[in-house]
Amino acid sequence: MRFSKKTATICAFVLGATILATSAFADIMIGSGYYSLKNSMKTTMAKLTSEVDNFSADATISLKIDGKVFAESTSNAKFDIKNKAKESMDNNFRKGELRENYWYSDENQSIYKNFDDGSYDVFEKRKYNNETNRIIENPLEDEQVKDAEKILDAFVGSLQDAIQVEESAGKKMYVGNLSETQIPSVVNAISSFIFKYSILDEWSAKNLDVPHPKSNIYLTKATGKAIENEDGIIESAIFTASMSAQDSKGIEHIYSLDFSIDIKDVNSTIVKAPNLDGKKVTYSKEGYEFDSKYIGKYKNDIVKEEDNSFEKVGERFIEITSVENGNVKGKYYEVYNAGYEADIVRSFDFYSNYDESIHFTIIHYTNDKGEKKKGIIHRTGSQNINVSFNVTIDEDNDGYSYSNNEDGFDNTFIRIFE
Amino acid sequence: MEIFKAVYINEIFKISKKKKITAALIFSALSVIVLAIVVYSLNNFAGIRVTGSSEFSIMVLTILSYSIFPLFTTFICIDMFAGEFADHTIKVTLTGPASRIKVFLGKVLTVATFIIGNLVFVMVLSVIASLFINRNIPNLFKIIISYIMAFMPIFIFALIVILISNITKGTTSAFMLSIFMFLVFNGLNLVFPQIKSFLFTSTFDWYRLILGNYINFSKILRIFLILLGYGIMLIAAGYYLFEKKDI
Repeated sequence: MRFSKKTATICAFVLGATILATSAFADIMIGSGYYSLKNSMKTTMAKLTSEVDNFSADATISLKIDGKVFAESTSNAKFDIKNKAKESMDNNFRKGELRENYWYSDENQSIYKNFDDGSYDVFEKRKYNNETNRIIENPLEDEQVKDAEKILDAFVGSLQDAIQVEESAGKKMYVGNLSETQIPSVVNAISSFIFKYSILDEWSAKNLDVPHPKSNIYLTKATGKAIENEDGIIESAIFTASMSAQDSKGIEHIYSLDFSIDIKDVNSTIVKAPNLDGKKVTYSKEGYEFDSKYIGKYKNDIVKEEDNSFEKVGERFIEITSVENGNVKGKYYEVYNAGYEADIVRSFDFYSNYDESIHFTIIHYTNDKGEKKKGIIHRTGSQNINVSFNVTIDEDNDGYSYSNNEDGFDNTFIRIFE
Repeated sequence: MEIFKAVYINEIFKISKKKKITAALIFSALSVIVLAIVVYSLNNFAGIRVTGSSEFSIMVLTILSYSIFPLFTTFICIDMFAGEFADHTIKVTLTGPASRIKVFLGKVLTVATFIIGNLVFVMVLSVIASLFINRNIPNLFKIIISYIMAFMPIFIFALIVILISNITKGTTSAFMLSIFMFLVFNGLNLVFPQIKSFLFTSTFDWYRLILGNYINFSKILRIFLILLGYGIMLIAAGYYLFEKKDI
């Protein structure tokens, strides 16, 4: 049986298309270790930040030179998502010295331990309106992280297949092993540059008393291992990256970073405030910028520049008349010297509402035109204050800023002791 | 077979006379030299070792796979198909004793030979250059396998250019369309990574799969099959159009 040229060509085309389609679909279905690890990380973060009631996390990060640890931090943290409490015991080892750190925090208080004398500092927390904050936010929900993920997906290329997945007894193990040859040159060059000039620059190396990486810097390997449990949570992960570099004497050193994390006791972790009975404790209230000691009079000079010299033309006064639970009340007025009377001499009362902002003490006043305006008042030095009037406040969850719309106004007011 | 061999030798002879071959070799050599200087200077002046000895050849391969190799492959393919149709020199070949299928396959094999030649040239040059950058002996086995693997996606791109050359009337339109296709495929790869299994451009660095300690053989097989599927499909389609094309 002989096929015509056309039939044979069509058959070959169909055969090629079939091989291509089935292989490509199979490839998509099988996916890669990279994508499955990424999904596993997302599931873990989503579950830990919102689904589970509580958990513990032990993390260690250590920096080694030629296998010898020169800096290490360990953190044993406990999180009670349901009751919004967390506790952490940290140890920092640096330059042969071990430093301990302990803190506890819940909705009402934060407790810090001073390891020098065994005393505790307790800060009573300020209550905010409409507070819905979770004790840990899911970092993977952040817009920036999502965009970074897309960029990483696009550029990871064939490296995504360097992650191997093994399954046994309901658990999944992800193993990744990047050797010197696999690490793309750009990644190698950028990381070497950052390592030399930012992470371990000459100053930090001297400060830490370690050899400064000077030449022939390159990433030698990056390995990682993660274990996902039956619930889809990554219960442990280890990551190691090593760089090789020569110091100023031409001696080669291997700098390595080891990071490990264990997530454990999910839904069986108890977070409890430390027992402070019989301990030396210092109590303070968090968030009250002003208290009664700030009641008083403050002033600064109104100065004019004339014939290349400064001339005092009057004074500005702030009088804080009352401070109750962080609410400040007072007045502002200007007094001009004889012969320098201004067209508008400002004088008004102001007040602040403590709950209005968590970042500022915002004051409200009515200006000479009868317009309602806002200002900011805050402490400066120990007894002085800084005041800005006519400000635009731009405040959101992540930050705050304000712009002052007043020229030639001296913001610093000095306390008058009479 | 004798006729096919004659067609192939004839095509090889024709492209060996083209200035583009010399240009391809000069640009390839220049690229290797420039990259070697950059890597050498970065190491000597900034202390950053961009690549080790084996990695230099791999780095050169990665960069040239997205630039010189597809560019000169495009030139050669267009010259051999759209070019010959445009200046009617194809008449001489097609009026000879060889059938169109033999002519077509002879030309495709010539393109493959050109790609292999260019890859071998760059590989040898980059290995020599890497000896100057780093005094360690590079891992030749991995380098050779990587260059062999790099051949396949570039060859698939060549088949796409051949297909385009058989559709368009002139050489300029064939060139523009080929470059456009290359950019579109690479763009799709970046924007929709979820469909990249269907895009041959995502396999341009598939040799990285053999560079690590863990070699994912099933993934290598899948990509090989994807490229094979592309190859069969494009040869069939290219030949169909070549057969139908009027002189």
